[in-house]
Amino acid sequence: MTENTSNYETFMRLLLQEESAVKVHVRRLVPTWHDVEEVVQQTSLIAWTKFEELDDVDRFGGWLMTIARYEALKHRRSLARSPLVFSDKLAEQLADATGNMAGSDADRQQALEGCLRKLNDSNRELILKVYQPGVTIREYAKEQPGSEQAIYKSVHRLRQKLLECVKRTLIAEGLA
Amino acid sequence: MKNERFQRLVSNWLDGSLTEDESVELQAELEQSVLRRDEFADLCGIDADLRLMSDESNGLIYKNARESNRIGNRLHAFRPGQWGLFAAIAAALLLVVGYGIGRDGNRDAAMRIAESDDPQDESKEVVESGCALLSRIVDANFADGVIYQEGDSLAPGPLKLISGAVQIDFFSGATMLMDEATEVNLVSSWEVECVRGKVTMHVPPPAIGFRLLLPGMKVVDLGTEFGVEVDGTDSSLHVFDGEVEAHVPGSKIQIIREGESLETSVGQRLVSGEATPVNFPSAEQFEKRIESFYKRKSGKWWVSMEPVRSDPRMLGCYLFKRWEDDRWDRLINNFALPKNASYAGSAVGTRWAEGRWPTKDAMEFKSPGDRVRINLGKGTYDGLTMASWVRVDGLDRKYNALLLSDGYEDGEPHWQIDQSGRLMFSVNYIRPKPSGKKEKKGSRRNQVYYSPPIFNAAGRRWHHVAVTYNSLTGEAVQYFDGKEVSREVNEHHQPGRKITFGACEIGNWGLPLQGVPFPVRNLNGRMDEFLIYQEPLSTDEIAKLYELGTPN
Repeated sequence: MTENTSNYETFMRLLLQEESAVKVHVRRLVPTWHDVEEVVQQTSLIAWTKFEELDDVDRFGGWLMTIARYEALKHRRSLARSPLVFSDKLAEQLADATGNMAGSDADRQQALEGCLRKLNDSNRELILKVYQPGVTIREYAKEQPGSEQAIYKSVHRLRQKLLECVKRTLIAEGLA
Repeated sequence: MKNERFQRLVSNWLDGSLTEDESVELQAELEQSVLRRDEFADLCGIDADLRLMSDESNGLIYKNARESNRIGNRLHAFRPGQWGLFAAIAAALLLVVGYGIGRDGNRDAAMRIAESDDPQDESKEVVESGCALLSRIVDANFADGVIYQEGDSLAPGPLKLISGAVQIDFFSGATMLMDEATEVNLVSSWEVECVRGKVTMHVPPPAIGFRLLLPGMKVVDLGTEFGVEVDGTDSSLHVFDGEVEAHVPGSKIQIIREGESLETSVGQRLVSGEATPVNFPSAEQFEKRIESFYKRKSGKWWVSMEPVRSDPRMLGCYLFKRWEDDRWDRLINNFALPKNASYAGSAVGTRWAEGRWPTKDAMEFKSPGDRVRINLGKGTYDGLTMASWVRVDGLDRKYNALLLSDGYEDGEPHWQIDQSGRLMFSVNYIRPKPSGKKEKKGSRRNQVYYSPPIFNAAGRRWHHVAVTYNSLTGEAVQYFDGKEVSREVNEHHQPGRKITFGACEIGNWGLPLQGVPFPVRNLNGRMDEFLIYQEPLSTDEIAKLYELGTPN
């Protein structure tokens, strides 16, 4: 009993540590955030059922990432053909991409928090609103007075701005 | 491609508004350039980070939350989509360990998670009322003829051990060894009363504060190992490691340290002395007793199985004995006598594990691919018996395999447990095609027999299950722990049709074909005996098989 209990606690702790990183990685492999959540949920379940087979918990992060990568590629195959679903070859290439931001997830997220604070109130509100759970820009735009295109443009501009800001912050901190 | 154009296309992809033409353009750009892929990864990272932040309780980012706080908040703030996973894990744990999730905050989180599962399913949630479980039993006899198995949960109340020894794991994390002629009263996962006899307590850090009541004394543990003996109204306490608080009415609280003892008796003064560990049950001694007891048991059992193995009706006798020197470790011998090696099985994916008792080997089936393959050839028979000792750890699938023939062709049996815990035996017969019709093949007709639901969440128990089938009468009888649970003649029965096995899987179904999806029916649990006969055995014979194999 105690073994199972501590297994569960260990697993939960590791999962909480790694889950965000896995989501960030999976994001580029599937078209929507909803897909990301499905993949990561499936990944967590599989990881739990196979957890006993993991010899070294220090390898949990990489191990979880491997499962996630496989699950993401599998999940893609279940999706209907759409402009949002890239070719298998490209998906594999993207899975290997490292990105230009080298800081840890926590560093990056902290930097992003700082950058969000630098936005003016209306911009910050806009970006946080469209990123709320379950919200799509299209649905959000319908309820707004301005044109849909204008909102897409704003979000695009803000995201780009935040990316630049995060990169600058990480470089300034010597992390990138 | 210009940077702006590229960024715009990635944005459109992230927002779900990318058109067909744009997709072609973007993919071509990404395929060509590592730099572009890195940029893409960065933008996806920002997108994901924004999602993650908004997912957390709103406004959290303004509060400059500390990392630890954040994990705590995240536990509380899981979204509906994730309840499923955590509920599934929590439910799986409830099956296995009752509610012993531990004492710290995680338990609360896990419980809340379990509770917040779909309210409509609340009535189906497994509940557990125990405070401890019997983790080890050595040759034990309990008062009033009560029979326990290893892994049984214990509810608060008395436990009287007449002979042998047991180990009890409290859900708080404390462990108790009970010697023969000892009577205790389980109060909760944090408290036990010793009425008479000897016990040794081991209390690891998570269970500090565990209380043991004796006549005239209360012992509060401070993280330690100690023994107590109760003889009538006399009690003694011996500390082997760490320290305990002794509360004696009318005296000050005393700290008793390693190597010290304390004795009380009614109307007498407290007497301090030296601890004498040799007089108490110890973990080492316990291990030795267990080992010699089970070695003897295995020896006796092996001898008693000899007549079973040489039964002339026996086709496959899989006793799951692991050969220490077998390099490949995948052979599942057929122990039927005279020997017939061609009916030996091959383990795929499964792992060797402990069986009904510690020195008995078993096969553990966990992953969707785990199985034991056998091939009993093309022989045809007028009936069959299958009997197995199995420990079901969970009914994960709609159908959970015991033995399934590969193709489920004419006359082949399937035996499984359905998700509601019913034993389900079936034989497939192909109806000859009606003359004059153009059908290529006759249609299938499945003869199915169900028992009432018999498997439930009382996990980790070994059970004996059996089915007999007579193809002359069409009657199938199923047994659970030696007792008949269903007897039925199928309405589709036609006399004169034979049974055959061919290639079968124990604990799974079929060899998956390349690229063809197949239903997953793997067993989640262990098996340490599987017998296949070519005739239906009688009710008495099944009862005898059960008697021969009971773990205690």
